[in-house]
Amino acid sequence: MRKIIVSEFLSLDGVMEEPAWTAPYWNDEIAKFKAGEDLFTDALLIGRVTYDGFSKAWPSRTDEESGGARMNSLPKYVVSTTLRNPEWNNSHVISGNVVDEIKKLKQQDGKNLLLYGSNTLVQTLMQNDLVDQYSLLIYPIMLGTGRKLFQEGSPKTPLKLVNSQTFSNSVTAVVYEPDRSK
Amino acid sequence: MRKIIVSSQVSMDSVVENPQNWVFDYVNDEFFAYAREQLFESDALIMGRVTYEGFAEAWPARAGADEFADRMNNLPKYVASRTLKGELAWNANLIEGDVAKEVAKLKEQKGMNILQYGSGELTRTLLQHGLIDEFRLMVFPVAVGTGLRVFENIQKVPMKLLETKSFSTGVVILHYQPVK
Repeated sequence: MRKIIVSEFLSLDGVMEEPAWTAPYWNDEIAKFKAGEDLFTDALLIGRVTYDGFSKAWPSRTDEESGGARMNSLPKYVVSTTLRNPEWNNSHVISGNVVDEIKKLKQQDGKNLLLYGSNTLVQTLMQNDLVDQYSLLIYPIMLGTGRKLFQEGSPKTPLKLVNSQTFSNSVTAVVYEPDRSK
Repeated sequence: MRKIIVSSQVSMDSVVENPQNWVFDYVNDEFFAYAREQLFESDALIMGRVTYEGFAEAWPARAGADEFADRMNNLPKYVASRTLKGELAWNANLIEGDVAKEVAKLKEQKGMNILQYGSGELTRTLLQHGLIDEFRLMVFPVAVGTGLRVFENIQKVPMKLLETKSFSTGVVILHYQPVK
């Protein structure tokens, strides 16, 4: 079964909103970590707000190096009740029965489904125990305000730490999987 | 100069409230050794009134239980409060007057680290005045889902990672220094 990997940039206080503050930290170590996620992924799962941003930014970036070629060619499953005619290449809209449709995607053959951003969709996935891995970059900054990955009222979820590493720019990568034995 | 260390237990979703509900599955010898070293590298505790009232009620009952409890009880405490008056129990001293000025004076005294457990209004005040030398997080591998989060309404502050390690239970230790 395919896994759903939630990949996020977080501040030290758990904020994920508008991650422009991560830009100054980008380096080869982070690029390598993100490339590692790509290896096991062959589709994106994405909420409408994040999709709007991505579908404006990525189509003009067609080279391999920026990751544009890959982002543009991958199948994208967009959860939205309003999006009708997505123009970004290889986009597919999920407009109803979201949980069932995502369960079907997980049951298909293939590599993992990767999710970036998409705060509202992540909440739905958490509520339905559909997240199989959290791949998080923790940035060395407290923001004090902004939308968090885990919002008040998220279900209690015991986790297993499956990987942690530290980069030279003070960013830490932590990878967790739900511990469904607890 | 003495350092002020702010040490917080947080869930993976940044919750700090009611840790007794979620830490016990993940504390082991590595964790206790870490907590012990941190306490024994400090020779004073600093706290706000809310933490003081909870600690001063809970810790004396553990006197003699182990070295950790004895040190918690014996160390001098400095308590910031607008409402407490006069002599305080539990070897505690009220910080009178301007908290930032008084804490700056404490830092200039000779001694070991000054440790704050948890974070709250006092943390925000100390941070605003550039008095915090290190933030230490013990991140527990559980998303709790509800409760007060760490560093709510704190100012935006970039940090430098000083140290990190993880324990076999999945607890991740992160030490940061605010960048001035």
